[in-house]
Amino acid sequence: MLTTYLNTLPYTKFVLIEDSVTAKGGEILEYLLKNHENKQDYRTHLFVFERNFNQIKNKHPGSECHDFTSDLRNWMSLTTSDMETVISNLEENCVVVIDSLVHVLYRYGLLGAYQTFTDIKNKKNVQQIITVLHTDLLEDRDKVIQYFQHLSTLHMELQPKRVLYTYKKSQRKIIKQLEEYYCDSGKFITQPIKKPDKDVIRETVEQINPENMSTFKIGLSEKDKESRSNLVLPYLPKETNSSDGKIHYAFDDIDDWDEEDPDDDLDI
Amino acid sequence: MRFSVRLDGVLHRMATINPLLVSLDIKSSDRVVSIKENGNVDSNFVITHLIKQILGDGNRMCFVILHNTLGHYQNVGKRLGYDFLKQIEEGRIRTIEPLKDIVEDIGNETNYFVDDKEQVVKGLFKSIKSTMEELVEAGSSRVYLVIDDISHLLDLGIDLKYIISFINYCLSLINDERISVVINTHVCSKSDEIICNNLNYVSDVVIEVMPLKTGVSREVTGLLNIEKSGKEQVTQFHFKAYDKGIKTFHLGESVYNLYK
Repeated sequence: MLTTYLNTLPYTKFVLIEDSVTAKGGEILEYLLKNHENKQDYRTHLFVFERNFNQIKNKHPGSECHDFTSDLRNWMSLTTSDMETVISNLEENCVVVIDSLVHVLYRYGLLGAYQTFTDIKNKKNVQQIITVLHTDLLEDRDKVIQYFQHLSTLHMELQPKRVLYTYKKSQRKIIKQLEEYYCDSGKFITQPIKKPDKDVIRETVEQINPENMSTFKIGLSEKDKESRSNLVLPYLPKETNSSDGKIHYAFDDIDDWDEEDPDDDLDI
Repeated sequence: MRFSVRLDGVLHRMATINPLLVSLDIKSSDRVVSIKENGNVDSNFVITHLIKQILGDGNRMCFVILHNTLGHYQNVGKRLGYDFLKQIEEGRIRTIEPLKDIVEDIGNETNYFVDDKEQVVKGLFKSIKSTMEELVEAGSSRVYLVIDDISHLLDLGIDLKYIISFINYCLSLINDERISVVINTHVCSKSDEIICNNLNYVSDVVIEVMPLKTGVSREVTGLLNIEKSGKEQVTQFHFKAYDKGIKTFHLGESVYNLYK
């Protein structure tokens, strides 16, 4: 069960949430953030790359928010934090949440982003890394997804009501599952997809009588079935004995048959 | 509909209720509004109607024009009931016209034609920021930043990563409680799609304008989808463009508007 794998201790090292416009992962990220913010023994660091920093900061007083959105390219010359410096300064036990991996990619490039994430993953004091990857913002979708899926320990691909996740357990076992999910007032609930019960289906199918479903006569009566089986189709070969391909022509009353060969006068 | 009410001997005239604005229902709590134009239909009417709402509420606006000319907005504004050029004169609307600057730069290697495209967006954002700051200081009303149309930045050869950063910078403007941002985009290529999707994740309201799926109709010009963050349901309307304005109606109800 996905929620179990997300919450068991020790935390799985790198959680990657792949979402798109049709199936957004924002609520799941909020759920995971809330879980971590309430804990006492470690600090939650939220790296804000998307949206407005102040709005996010006010929404998450329990996390330490790092501003990577207001002046990421140093156009306004505000004192900006560089991602590498912030990461190297993380000394205590912590959980790192990055709200949009795509923005990291656009800023630092694929190589830079991959190296950064490898560095964070190698840090022993970082208990978990959580990030959301908007797959429909990528130009080179497959390559990027491939690399970060390799780096992650639990990656989930969100679809409108279902999630396909792959969980790499520490004992080299890999679990790949498709589950249903829904978010209800801040809670993220997953359940395995129930297989439809064969007996229930058989019963419902037997109960359906197509005659009752419309005002038209749908079924065939016995007489109809008999006449259908007796019908001879004209284009299929008949069982009569055919002579050697002679053409039998029945003359009409107005036909005038000339016994002469019309090509007689030709000099061939 | 116009109502005249006698109040203490003074005649008040209630504002003409515009059906499109009622359908859109953009509030001052909607800080980021994005408009997505698909296919062959022109979504410019959303912006022109929003200008009407902004001016009607007594607010100010910084207008970045990358798609139409000032003359166009003046003409449409007259039909909708506001004098666009007069508002510019009075300082309620400030315009930034990169198209004009580009025309002046042709032949020179300055401004929009420099090789380092990051400087182009950086310069554009700096001029937007200073204009917005001036508008905010000029009064106590709300200030709207309206960009029409951000996908054209791609046409200028600016890389996608700089445009995404530009959007982030524009979003940082809403640190000031009085500022809201309205961005118009159109979709023609994959990169346009990426910009639209980016705005979709961060917007409070996403207005999508598209043509009818199966062809052209005399009674319906197109389809309007309104998605508000927090609400699961997407509101859908059909709309018809008339000479004097736009009428919206629920799907399939165009017949009520046939004889109007």
